[in-house]
Amino acid sequence: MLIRRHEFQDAYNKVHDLSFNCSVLIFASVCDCDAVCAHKILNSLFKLDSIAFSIIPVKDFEHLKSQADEHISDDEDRAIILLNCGATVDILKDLFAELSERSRVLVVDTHRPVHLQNVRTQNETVMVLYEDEEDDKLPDESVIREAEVEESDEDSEPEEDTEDQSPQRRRLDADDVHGAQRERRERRQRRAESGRLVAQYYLQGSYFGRAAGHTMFHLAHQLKKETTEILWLAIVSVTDQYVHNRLSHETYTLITSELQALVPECDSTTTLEDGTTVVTAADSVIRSKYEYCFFMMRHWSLYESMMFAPIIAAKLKTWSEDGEEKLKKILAKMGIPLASSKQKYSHLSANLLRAVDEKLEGQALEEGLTELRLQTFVIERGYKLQLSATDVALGTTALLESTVSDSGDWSDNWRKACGALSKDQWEVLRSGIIQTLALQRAIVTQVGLAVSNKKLIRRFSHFKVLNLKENCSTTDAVHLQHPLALTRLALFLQEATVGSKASAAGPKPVVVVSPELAEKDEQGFTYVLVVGLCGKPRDGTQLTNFFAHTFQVTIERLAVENVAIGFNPSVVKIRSDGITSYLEELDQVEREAKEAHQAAE
Amino acid sequence: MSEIDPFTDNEGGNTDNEGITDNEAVTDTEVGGHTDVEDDGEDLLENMERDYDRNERLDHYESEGLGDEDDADDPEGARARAERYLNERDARQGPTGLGRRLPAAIGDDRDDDDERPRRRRKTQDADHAAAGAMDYEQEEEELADTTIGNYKGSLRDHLAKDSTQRAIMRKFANFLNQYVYSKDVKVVENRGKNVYRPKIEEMCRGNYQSLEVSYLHLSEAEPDLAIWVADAPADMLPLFNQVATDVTMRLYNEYSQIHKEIFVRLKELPVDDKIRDIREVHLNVLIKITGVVTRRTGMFPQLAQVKYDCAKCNFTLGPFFQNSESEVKVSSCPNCQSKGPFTVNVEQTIYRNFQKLVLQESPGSVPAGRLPRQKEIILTNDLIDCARPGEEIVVTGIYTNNFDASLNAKNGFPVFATVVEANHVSKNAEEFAENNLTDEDKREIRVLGGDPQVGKKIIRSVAPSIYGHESIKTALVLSMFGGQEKHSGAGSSHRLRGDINVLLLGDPGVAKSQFLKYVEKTAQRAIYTTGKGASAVGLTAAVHKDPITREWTLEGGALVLADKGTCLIDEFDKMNEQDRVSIHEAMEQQSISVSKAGIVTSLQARCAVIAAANPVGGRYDTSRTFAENVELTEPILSRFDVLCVVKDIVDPVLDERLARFVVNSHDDSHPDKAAEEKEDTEGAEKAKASEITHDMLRKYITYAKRHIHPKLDHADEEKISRVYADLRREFPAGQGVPIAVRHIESMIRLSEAHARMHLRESVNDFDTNVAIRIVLESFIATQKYSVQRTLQKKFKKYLTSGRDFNALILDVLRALVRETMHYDEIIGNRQGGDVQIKCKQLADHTAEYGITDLHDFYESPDFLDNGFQLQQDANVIVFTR
Repeated sequence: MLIRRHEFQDAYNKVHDLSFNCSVLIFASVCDCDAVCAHKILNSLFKLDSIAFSIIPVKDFEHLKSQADEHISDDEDRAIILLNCGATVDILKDLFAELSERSRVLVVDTHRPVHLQNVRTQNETVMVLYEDEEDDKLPDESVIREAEVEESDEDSEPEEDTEDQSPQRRRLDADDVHGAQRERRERRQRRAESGRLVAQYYLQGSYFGRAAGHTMFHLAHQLKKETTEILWLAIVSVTDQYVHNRLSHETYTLITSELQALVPECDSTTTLEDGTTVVTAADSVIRSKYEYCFFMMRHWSLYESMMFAPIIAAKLKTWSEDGEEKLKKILAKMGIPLASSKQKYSHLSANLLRAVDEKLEGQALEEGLTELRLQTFVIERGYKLQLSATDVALGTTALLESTVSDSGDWSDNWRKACGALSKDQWEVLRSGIIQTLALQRAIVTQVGLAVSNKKLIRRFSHFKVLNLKENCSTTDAVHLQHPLALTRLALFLQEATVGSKASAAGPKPVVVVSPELAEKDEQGFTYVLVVGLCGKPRDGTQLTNFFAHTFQVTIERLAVENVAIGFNPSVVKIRSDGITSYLEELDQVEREAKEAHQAAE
Repeated sequence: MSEIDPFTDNEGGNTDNEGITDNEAVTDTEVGGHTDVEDDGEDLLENMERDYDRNERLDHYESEGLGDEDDADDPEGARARAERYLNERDARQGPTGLGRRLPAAIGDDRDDDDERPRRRRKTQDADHAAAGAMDYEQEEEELADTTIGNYKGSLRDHLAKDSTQRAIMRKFANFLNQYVYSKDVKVVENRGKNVYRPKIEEMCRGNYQSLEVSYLHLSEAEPDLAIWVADAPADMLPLFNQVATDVTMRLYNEYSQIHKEIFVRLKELPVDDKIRDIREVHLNVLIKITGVVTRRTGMFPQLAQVKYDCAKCNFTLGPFFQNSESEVKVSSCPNCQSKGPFTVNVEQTIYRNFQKLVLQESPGSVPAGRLPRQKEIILTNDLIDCARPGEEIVVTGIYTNNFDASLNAKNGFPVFATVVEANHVSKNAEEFAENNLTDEDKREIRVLGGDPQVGKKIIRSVAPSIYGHESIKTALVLSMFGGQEKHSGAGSSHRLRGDINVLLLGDPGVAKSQFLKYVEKTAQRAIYTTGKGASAVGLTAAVHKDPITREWTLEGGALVLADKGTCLIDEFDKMNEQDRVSIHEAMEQQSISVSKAGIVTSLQARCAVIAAANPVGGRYDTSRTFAENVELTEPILSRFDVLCVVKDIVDPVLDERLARFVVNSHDDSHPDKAAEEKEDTEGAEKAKASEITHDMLRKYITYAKRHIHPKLDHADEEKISRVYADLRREFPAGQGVPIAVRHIESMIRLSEAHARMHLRESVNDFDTNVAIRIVLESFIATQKYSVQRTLQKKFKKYLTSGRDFNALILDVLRALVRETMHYDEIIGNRQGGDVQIKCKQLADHTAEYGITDLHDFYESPDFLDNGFQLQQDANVIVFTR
């Protein structure tokens, strides 16, 4: 059943009640930073309420299923929480088949569309937290029920139909049949209609709802247990969604303004003996800032953070010589020496920082750069450290997506990511941030190559393909092995190509094929990731990703082995030798889907 | 004739400029009058004659023009005319030997361009409004224009006048804002475009402080400014700098945050002076000299603008402007009239950077039998460190004198030491630095790299004037590309060398030194020394006493200067044993440790060493062991990755082709040979087309070294270790070079270099095969003749792999021809003529290499071009001599 925002607390209480028998099981996806944030919030809530829990990080459905089989038996009533996983499948049927009657599954998942079985009111076991503000794409409860009926009656219905056609029966009780027939026809019509609605709901492709961390923050808020740290985690969650294009720009603005109001004014002042008041830094202070969206400028040099910032890089084409010259021109016009711009940004002298702050927009406008500023949040940890939400979100993502070393376990990544989000483990986060910088460099270089050499991008009728498997330097390939990194690459590619051709319809959807993954399977086959992306960054409207659907169809048609990767259906992992046929089939599927869509309209 | 004259344009178009025209005429005369002071060459003399011509016509023409106009109310004009007349008379009488030396060759490039654009001030007004106005621009032009050119007395007095200065500044500002490229400039897109605006932008983007202004442009647009700046640079350049600063600040408002002052650097000064020929007449004028930097001091802050504090009344004196030679002394305080003491006010004093270079005449330009002379150059501000010792530079600067007490004492009467204050320094070999690769170049390089034949092409393009020696060429190319240096261990504590050292060992006259010279011209950074001319410290590092600071300083030797480049050592065997030992460390560890005179340090010497040596007794004797053949010790030999033993073997087939090649190339490259008959050698042309130009090759190497970092695959590692094991087993049998672990590394490095040459990120099978072949060849070549045969047989599969089949068959065929001829000789069948080889015979031999089908070979150019013919019916190959 759906749990709207005002009912969050009740749901939590149910979990709370069940926790007396047996510890709460938390399954959290290791695929995004959002899940880690949500987990950390939940963690602190549970600690305050003295609830025992165990956390199981999971990497894909198969893994989730096996872990569930291992930990859950039907003889005990348990509370189970799913973080950023599970909502898109029928939880009771596909995941926890052996669940006892009184067990409860709390689902906090940003993946959409939610499986309709999970949201049915009768389904009391599964509780899906669902934010009110989301544009409701869910079909009505009645529609779901109608569609259900059709499914359940499937066995009897056709029978009736065949009987209908037999002339004997019709003649026997004509009157009776007449009324019933009409009724049935109406019912059938209704059923067909709701069936169509449901099918449409599933076919619309994947999209994302509110961040799990954000939802958890609302829960904490209702429980009156929110702290600065929890608010910060919620901010990181939302930022993470925004940088990975899971939120439309509009929604992001909406949420940030909402969060901004919650950021406390917490400059603590101390009065000295002689009566002067001085501002002292609190342990953690969140500030809302309207900042330039340079790439991780607090951890890079001004020059590099401008050069690799997606918005600037795309407009100026900083990967080429001309682009770099333009960037240098902007800097010279602002009176910033190149030498200092290549020093660490955080150590720039104050008047240079002021120059950047005051003069950049004017100068940038001359080069056609607009919308350079973005509402964001910064946390100050005493005098020691300043971190922006983007830094943390990207750094944590990099830690989650770092390549697993031979000695380490992939759950190490999870542990590191948890550490990076906590207050006192700056070193861990720093290693993530350093990885992100290298990744961003690789992204800009690769996209730069692709944009300047048209041959590298293959165009199909409904989408284009950037195949990194064939031409990607080994140094860059190391970084481009993970879904979110590739998503960002795809995003940047869209942004970079938008500039060249400003078509009203927006750029074609893009499919990115990753370089060959480092790990091989037992037979020595290598794999590649295929990431699909619709829409473009900083888009006003929410776009759904229809690749989620067509990717699966293609895989089924080709009957190739699909190796599970994450919970996002618009990312698939296939054998690298099958990539050409896969892309061709995908083109076919896309074309058919488009035709079907047009026919429907 | 009046069309040729550049100055009549003015006269016809714009009467305002009359005054200037007058002056130009005057100066022009003088140009003519003094060119013969210079003995630069034919051009100038020719020009001189025209100058005479032109002036006479001009004279005639102008007096007409002037007669028409404001004759009465222009006393200045009248005076100018009188002066001009006098000057012209002087000129006609021939050179008067006046001290003023005027820039002579200004008119050079204009003599033949009839369509010189009539630009001048026509577009001025529009631009003027856009540019905004500086104070010196607001004056009415007319006034200034009529007066500026006319002056009495010395030029310096004239330039000291405020009004003149303002006029100069305005003119120069106009020049910077409005000068456009002429219509016949080479780059088509640039025609008619503004020249200096983009240059200023470029300068700002790069955060530079120097604006390079072409003297030729200046002399075309503002001849009087050009002449004056050549004659009185000390007065003119500060004005120019001021203007350049103003113009820049107007375009880039905030640039003062980056640099307070912009310097105008005059390039393309048309006169070349020799260090040897600088005389008293050159004092305080702009000169341009060429030479090699021999020494360079450190950087010192020099007082530019001094302020003093009076110790008695605390009054701040100044600012005093410092010139480069003597220190300004204050005699008394204007406030309290005391005589000091004065202390330098540290806070308000402005310093500038200061550095001295010693410039020596280039060896090539020294007259036969003389020693090169040298001159001190002073570099200030951003010119600091623009040249390193050993580089050849062209300096444009002011020749000034410097009071030197010791010289006075020595001579007994006042003489001066002279220095050149540099205004512009240019280097000849700057164009191949990494940052000079344009996007266009990079694309071209990538296209070239995509060609599977690129390796062959590159090897073929190396030293095109040298025939054959594929193996040496391959080794040199690989050395220039270099392997991948690695840092193993945590924190990159241990470094593995990536550079490939090559030793060329061979008989005299096999072009070893030529190869080295070629590498010197091609490699990214190359230092060339010869064994006898280099000492241990000269190669590594020397500690010496700095003459200025009196401190012990470290000076890097050849290997240090060649860091990240190539060090070439010719006549390696002629070196002292002790000196040679000193480079052991440099060759493997690639560092040079010094502990001398209290300096304990380690210098980086990450360079590839390419050395050339002669065998003992001049000729390599294959019947003796390698150690007996060379005077090099084992430790040093094992440090070379590749040993190329070049033997001068008598081979009738090759010798003839070689002779033909050498004769042709001598013929082709003779300076008198014009383009007329170059087409006759079609084969050569064809070969040339597939070659890469020298410039392209340099760029290619630069790019590959910078961007490609090849990686070794596991499969290849196995192969290399197998070969190593085999080699170790064979090594005791012969007396060649000892095989050490280093050779594994050599193979890895070579295969990486080969991959890099093909712009590949990973090493593939082909690369390893080539690397193994090179190492094996160098191993086998060092063996005794008797052992060589057996080894060749043993390692045949490695030796033939990665080679062109046709070249292989050709080798076999040649060997057969040689044998047959030898046989003929022995049995006394000496009539020469054609040699016949049976096809069957060749097929039998090639079958050993696994080659059975020879049809392709018979049709290939390799076969036909080498003087072979196939007679199908008789099934024989005929070799025609």
